[in-house]
Amino acid sequence: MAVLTRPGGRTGPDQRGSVAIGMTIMFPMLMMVIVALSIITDTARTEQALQAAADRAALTASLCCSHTGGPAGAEATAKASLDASHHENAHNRIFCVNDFVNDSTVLILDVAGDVVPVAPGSRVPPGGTVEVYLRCEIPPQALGGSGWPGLDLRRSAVGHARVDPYRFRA
Amino acid sequence: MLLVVLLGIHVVIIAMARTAVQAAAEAAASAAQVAGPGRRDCFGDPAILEPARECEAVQAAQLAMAGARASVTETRRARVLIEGERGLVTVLVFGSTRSPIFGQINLAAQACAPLDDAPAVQFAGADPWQC
Repeated sequence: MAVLTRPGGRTGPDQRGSVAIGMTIMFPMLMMVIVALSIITDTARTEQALQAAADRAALTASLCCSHTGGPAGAEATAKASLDASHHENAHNRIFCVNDFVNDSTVLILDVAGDVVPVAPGSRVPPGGTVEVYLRCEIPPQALGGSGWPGLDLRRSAVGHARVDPYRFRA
Repeated sequence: MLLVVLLGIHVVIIAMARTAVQAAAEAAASAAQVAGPGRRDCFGDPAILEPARECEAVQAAQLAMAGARASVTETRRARVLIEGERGLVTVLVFGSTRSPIFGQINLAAQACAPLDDAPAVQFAGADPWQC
């Protein structure tokens, strides 16, 4: 940087060439950085949507039902919630290429932390916990076409909700 | 060159703001879901009772937006739509951020959740899930 300007303050022809070469090198690199930032932020949004889906499924299952199994049971409700977040017309839709609903797991634990079996006659344990484990494989298009080095396409999220022991359940 | 750097900053700022607004909407929907029917004093005045779901959702949205005020600022009070027949609560949260290229940018996020008093058999259908 010793001789950047002429005494008049203008840049010399050689220096203009250097600046042009520097710009030619820097511009694509900066564009690459922007694309990388965009991909990373999109990934963060996907993870946020997954976490929201897990939390919503767990919370709804913990509030809704008196039994763990059956068509109106806690597990079926959690799965219906996951299925809805995967549908075309859902807001904040999750894009997964795997069988998102069936690859995910719903666990209902009692106060002691033991797993309560999912069955139509099995009651949701008061004071227990509903845990939803999601597994989602993001399509490579979401990460810049063929994925991005260092970014795994598999994502997971865990949602927890406590079963209110004082809540009336029909 | 400066424009490219500003564009990068713009991308990050918008992403952070969108994430924050969506998180506030999700928190508000969860609060409304848990609140249940009934009325409560929302602003500390027992003489003024508001629907508990709306009150809890608005307060949750305000808290979430206040927590993320480095990324986004709340521009309007959150809107809460309760559809009892469908068993659904929908929350809209509004915020804005400032981009170095485009100036102030307004953002909105939507989240919905089934109501806690909706019959469990209703959850098998699409109604309680679609905003």
